[in-house]
Amino acid sequence: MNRTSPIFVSFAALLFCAMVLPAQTYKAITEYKLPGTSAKAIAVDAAGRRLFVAGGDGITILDADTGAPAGAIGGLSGAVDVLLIPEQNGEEPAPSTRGFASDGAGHVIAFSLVDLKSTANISLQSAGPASLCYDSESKTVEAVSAQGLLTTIDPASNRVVKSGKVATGSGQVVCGNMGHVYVADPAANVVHVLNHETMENEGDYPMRTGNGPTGLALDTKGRRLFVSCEDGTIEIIDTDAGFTFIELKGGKGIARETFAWLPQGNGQWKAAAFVAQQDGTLSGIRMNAYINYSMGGQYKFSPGLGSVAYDDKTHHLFLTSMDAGSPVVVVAGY
Amino acid sequence: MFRMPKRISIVPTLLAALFTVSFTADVTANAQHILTPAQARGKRILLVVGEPEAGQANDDALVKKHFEEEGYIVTMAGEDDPATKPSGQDLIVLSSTADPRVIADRYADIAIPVFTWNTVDYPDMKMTGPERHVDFETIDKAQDFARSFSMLYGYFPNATDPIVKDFGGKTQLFGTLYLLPQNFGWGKPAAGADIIVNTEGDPTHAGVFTYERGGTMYNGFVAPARRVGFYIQDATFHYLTAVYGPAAKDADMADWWVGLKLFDASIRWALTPPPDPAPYDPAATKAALAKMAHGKKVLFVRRLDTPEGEESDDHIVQHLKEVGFIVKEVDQDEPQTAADGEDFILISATNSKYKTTNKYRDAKIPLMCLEGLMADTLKMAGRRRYIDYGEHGELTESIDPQEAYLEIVNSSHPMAAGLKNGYVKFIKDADVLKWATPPPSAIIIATLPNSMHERAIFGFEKGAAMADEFVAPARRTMFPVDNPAFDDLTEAGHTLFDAAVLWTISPPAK
Repeated sequence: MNRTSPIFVSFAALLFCAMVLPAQTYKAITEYKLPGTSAKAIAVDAAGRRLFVAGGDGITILDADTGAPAGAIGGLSGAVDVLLIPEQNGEEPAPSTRGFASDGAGHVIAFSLVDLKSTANISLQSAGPASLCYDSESKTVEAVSAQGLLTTIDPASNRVVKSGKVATGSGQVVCGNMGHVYVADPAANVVHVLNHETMENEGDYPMRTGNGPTGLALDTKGRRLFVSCEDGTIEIIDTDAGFTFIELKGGKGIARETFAWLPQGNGQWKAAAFVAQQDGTLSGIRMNAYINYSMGGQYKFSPGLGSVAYDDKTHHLFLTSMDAGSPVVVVAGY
Repeated sequence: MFRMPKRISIVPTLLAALFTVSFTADVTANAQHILTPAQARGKRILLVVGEPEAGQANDDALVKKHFEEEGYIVTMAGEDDPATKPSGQDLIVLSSTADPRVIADRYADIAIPVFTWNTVDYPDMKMTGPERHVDFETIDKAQDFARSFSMLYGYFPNATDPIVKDFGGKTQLFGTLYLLPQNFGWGKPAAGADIIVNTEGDPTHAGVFTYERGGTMYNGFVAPARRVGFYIQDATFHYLTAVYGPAAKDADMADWWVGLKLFDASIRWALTPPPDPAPYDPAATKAALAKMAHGKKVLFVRRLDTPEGEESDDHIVQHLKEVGFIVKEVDQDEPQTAADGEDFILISATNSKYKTTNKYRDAKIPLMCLEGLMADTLKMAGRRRYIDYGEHGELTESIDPQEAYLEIVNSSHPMAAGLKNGYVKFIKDADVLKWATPPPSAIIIATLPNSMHERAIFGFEKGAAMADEFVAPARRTMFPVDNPAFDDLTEAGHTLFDAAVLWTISPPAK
């Protein structure tokens, strides 16, 4: 009797699944309209199903699932950045209750996600635009002014803890391990490694072949920094050594990034850094292993992509963009 | 009777004095300086590459870009280009992308420095023997997956080497390439080479090695110019380790990720004009020794009232005094405190290794040993008798015939006394000659003929890692004058003796 091996059957089933399962191709699912003339940054309140968009009109809030207007936060015009403070309930993530936003004139506001009211107005010692990141180890908000100022804010008291003058840059900022704040500086073609505990620059990461780093995303577990350059080079840096060990080809122009674990759910990509670039390219850098990354896919949207945020409830990406001269949020999925 | 004062011609005296000064300076000065990056700028490099294969990544363009960023003027050449192409160049660089069967030995004879990571071409360049997996090997990250990880760890056996010193490397492990399975090439060079990096815990698996101009390469081929073998392969240049940001300020981290610094320093070493050794001149060598030895105190450790070699030892003492040493003779049984206040220790072959014990190993003054069997107690070689050291031609302890010749393999070194590479009659009649196989940090001057692993004359620079990682407290030299053999030395043998003593007592390289 001719018996088929169960191993063969399993293998054949796997092969069949691989052939019929659709590739994880991102596409634009829908588009949400925004008021005002610009959209600079975006943050997702996944639990509350809201989007917070920093733009010319301050902070606009949309329903994350429908795009319907869901409010606004006053006290800030010409907003350039927004972040929500991640909360923990024991070991589990909990809904955010607080957020921070900055403008182009050296102001930072704190706001409540409960009543969408501004709870504090902080003037930085530098009048220029400031980018924000949250250090989950020290539980501080770091504001990096493009003119060369690092400011640490205690989100519990909404007070400035300390600030220091230090060379920064006009690119994206991310908070890392051990007090580090990474700042993309396209003018100097480096990523500055600042330490908010000492308020000093601890060194720079030079670009290997890329030029004009603007976008940053960090995997704090693998200690990988994904740096997107305006010339289309994406460098993946081992932050322990400051060494670029992989280079990939991205889109062109100013970039903004985000990093996500299991962005397509269990059984799909382990992790990814998503890069949105001015020319409309969304790049998905797929983690195959901590030492192995590849370009998982590139998806072409209309030019003018700005910021990108990841929704871990729906696995959607929200990208700020411009459509016919008006700001929008593009919802991308697969 | 009135006598006219004897007229002395001042010209020959001055010339002799000048020669002595020149010879002494050659020995004592650090002739191993490497061009600084600023000095190397503007040098012309011919980069020989192969045709890129479809779908195969290679780093040739990155290498070219890097060279240009360092200020070199780069000319590209193909694997088919004639050997006349390098005319006017300061350095030829052979990429592994060039087909080794096509370039073959085209650049072997050329009197321009060659820097190569074309591992398979090492044999044709006379840098190693011909046998793959034995004399050289290319590690493939797919075929040799596990070993490709071990290649990420290199070892500097000699921190006193000028290339390693250039970037402050230490005698320790370091990261060769970034933490991914990587292709890698190693070679097992001839005795005349300096091993800069070895891998896999095998001292002979050289990831980086150099030949000085005039050094003996494989099969007796004499290096027409400097030669460097380096471990990278087609697409691994961009994985050469480097450190930036906060880690660069941590000395341990900075010492680990030095692959690119090693590459750059090796390139500059290849570009640096080699020292010109003084010509063979026994009288000048003796005069230079006399100048250096004058007033220095030497402890001569010997077996007093020995039944064998007494007269020979006496003649050594006589010679030492003749060149200006203040000689203190002690028996092998004397405590090593006898060396207190001395400038130099010379250990005779009349001593019994068993009785001399481990004495003088730690002495912080230069030491030269005439007894090859003491190689292990003095940390000049491993402890396996007849494997790490032995007696060539000894009737009951050797399978080899007695020998009168040595083979000079490093003519450019001062210890070679200006003798050319090749055979030199060392003692008048064939006899027992001691040897050892020192670790790769040793400077090899001469081997036993037809037994290349049996190194006869060799030395360690102060600070070099000797056997068992023992750091040389001062210069150390092995010179195989068996019991009565000092009296049997030929003129060349005497001159080698003087040159070895001179190098040993000279100030170490800075």
